[in-house]
Amino acid sequence: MPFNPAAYALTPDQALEKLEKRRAFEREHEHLAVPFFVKGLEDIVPKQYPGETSFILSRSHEGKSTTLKAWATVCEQEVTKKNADALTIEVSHEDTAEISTEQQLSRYDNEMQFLSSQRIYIGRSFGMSQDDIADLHLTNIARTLNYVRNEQFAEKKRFAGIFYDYIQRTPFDPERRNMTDDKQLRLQMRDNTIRLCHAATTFECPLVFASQAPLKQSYTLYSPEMPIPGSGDTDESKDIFQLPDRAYGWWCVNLKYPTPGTLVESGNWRFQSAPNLFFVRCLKFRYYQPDPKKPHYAPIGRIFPVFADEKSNFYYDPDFHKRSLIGVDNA
Amino acid sequence: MPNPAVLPPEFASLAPQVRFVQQKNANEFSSSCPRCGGDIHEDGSWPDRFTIWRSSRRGEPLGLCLRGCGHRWSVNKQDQIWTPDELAEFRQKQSEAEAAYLAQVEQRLIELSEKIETQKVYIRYHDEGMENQAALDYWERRGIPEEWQRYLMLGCIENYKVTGKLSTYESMALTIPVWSEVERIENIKLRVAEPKNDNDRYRNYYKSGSQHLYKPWHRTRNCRHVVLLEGEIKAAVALIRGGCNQEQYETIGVQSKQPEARLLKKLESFDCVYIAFDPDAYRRTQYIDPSTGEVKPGKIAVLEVAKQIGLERVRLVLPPRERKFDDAILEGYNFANAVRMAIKPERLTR
Repeated sequence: MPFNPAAYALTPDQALEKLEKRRAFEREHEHLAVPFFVKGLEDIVPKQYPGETSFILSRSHEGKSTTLKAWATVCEQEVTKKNADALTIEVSHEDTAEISTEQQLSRYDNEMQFLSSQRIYIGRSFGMSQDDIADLHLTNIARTLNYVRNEQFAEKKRFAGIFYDYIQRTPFDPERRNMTDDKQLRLQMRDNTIRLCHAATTFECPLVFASQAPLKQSYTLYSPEMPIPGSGDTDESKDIFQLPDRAYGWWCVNLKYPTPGTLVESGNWRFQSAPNLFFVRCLKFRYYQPDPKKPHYAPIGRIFPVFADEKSNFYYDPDFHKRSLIGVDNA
Repeated sequence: MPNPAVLPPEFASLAPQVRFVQQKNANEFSSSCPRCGGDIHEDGSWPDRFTIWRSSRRGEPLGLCLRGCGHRWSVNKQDQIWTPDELAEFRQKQSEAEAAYLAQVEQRLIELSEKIETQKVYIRYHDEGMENQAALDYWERRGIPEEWQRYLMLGCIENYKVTGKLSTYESMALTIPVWSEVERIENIKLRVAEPKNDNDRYRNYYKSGSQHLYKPWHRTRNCRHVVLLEGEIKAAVALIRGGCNQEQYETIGVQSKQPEARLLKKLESFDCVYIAFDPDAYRRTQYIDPSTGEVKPGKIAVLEVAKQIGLERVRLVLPPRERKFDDAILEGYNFANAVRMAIKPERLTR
């Protein structure tokens, strides 16, 4: 298609018209805005609307997959609660279908609830060949998403959310499989990030992906005692942070302080470690307009302690938060 | 099952040309067609497209291919091909006969319905059922709470005499007035509470000679879609607990996984028909080819129903893991989600 410059150069009037359309879209799709996955933070961390991309940044084995699964479940249950017709999509390069199902089953009251959930798993299965696994690069994932949306069911489906685990684990495009230098790897990450952001627009749904933070070298940790990754800590490519609309740093306390009850002190923070204690750091909120009536609730830059329950769902304990911050009245 | 027979002597000249001869009654036989042939069907039944009457309406022996290939056999003309006009006339007569049959059935059902309303036994059984704790408990267990038992006029017969497959015995029977698609009661379905054989579970209170549609929400709505379930109780449970949008989806029960074509025609007013049958209706049957002894794949019941309704208008709701929908719903299954995730019939075998 020939390039049409008129679509890009907007007068204030045209720009305002687009803003009004966007607001109307938000009103119309309120039921498909995905709440934050931590119970108790839904009113503090704003909902994610269709077309927006966010990611969770964490070091290896600190809970990326678990948070994405919990978020996907929150998304699916929200849709079911609203009696809406929309699929929740889980894409995983980390787990197999079998393991993922086992983990997700436990989040439902019983097998029948899980069986009738509007969710689709896209990923490897136990026993799949190496070649087939390598075929699941982003181009083929987009094809699979198109198939799910247009062909798998009798009616064309809307997606409630796509949850993608995780960007560095994505098989390389065929033309990049014989990469010889880091630059190509970085370009692959950049491409993947761009395409994931495009997927949120194309499939008109919120998209959440996970990203690995490097193990050895970190640049923007919250503090040495509380190593919650920050904007400069995306593995392989800075574009992973720069392109999406929202970003959350995630830290599993238990990995640094495996002995329960260990006293952790850092700045104003003072708390005891626990096996089910995590911290989430709100790193980036593009499009977010703080509510002038509740400026206190602007989440940008804030850090929240989060607990996992026995089903690996997450909740926020405001009392623990207050107790853990010394000399801060308004936690 | 095939009922093999030998051709009557007056048709002896046909013998080399036809196969699979069966006797339907004293006057009527069927076989493959001398012209267009015919082989054993997927379900193991024999082809019966060529019908032979020892005494036709004119009192003479007559053979006719009902598939419409045009072959007719009579004593005088044994290889006659029908002209297009003759064929059209035959089809016209066939459709008139069909319409007359349907009108006859309809009339019979109207009369039966009037009889039911005159006798009002369903009200008596409903009143008895509301006093019977065992019946109340049974319906609760099946997922139908008391207020819905009242609406559906469910009831019970305390000592129903079951003429069963293996024995005759007494059992409590639960009564379900069968509200048809036109909101009249066309029969009373009985569910034997303690059947001694699986075949004894269901009975019709009145001999109507017809299947019925069961519309548990017996008030007029203008739904664009209909969900078909196998059985009255499943339809009721799906209506009460299924969670489908009641403004959009009508819920109707059919009494078999192979409903009469007459009933399926009544669904023409709906844009879309969602079939939610028991798991076995989605499996391909098998049959043994009597000529070779080989096991061959048969038919899939839901696809046969879908073809009759029209594939474009049908959606298949897949049952969860060998569970019937009413049991699954009681275990927490979200039926509305399953309806949303229905597939097109052609995807079932892909």
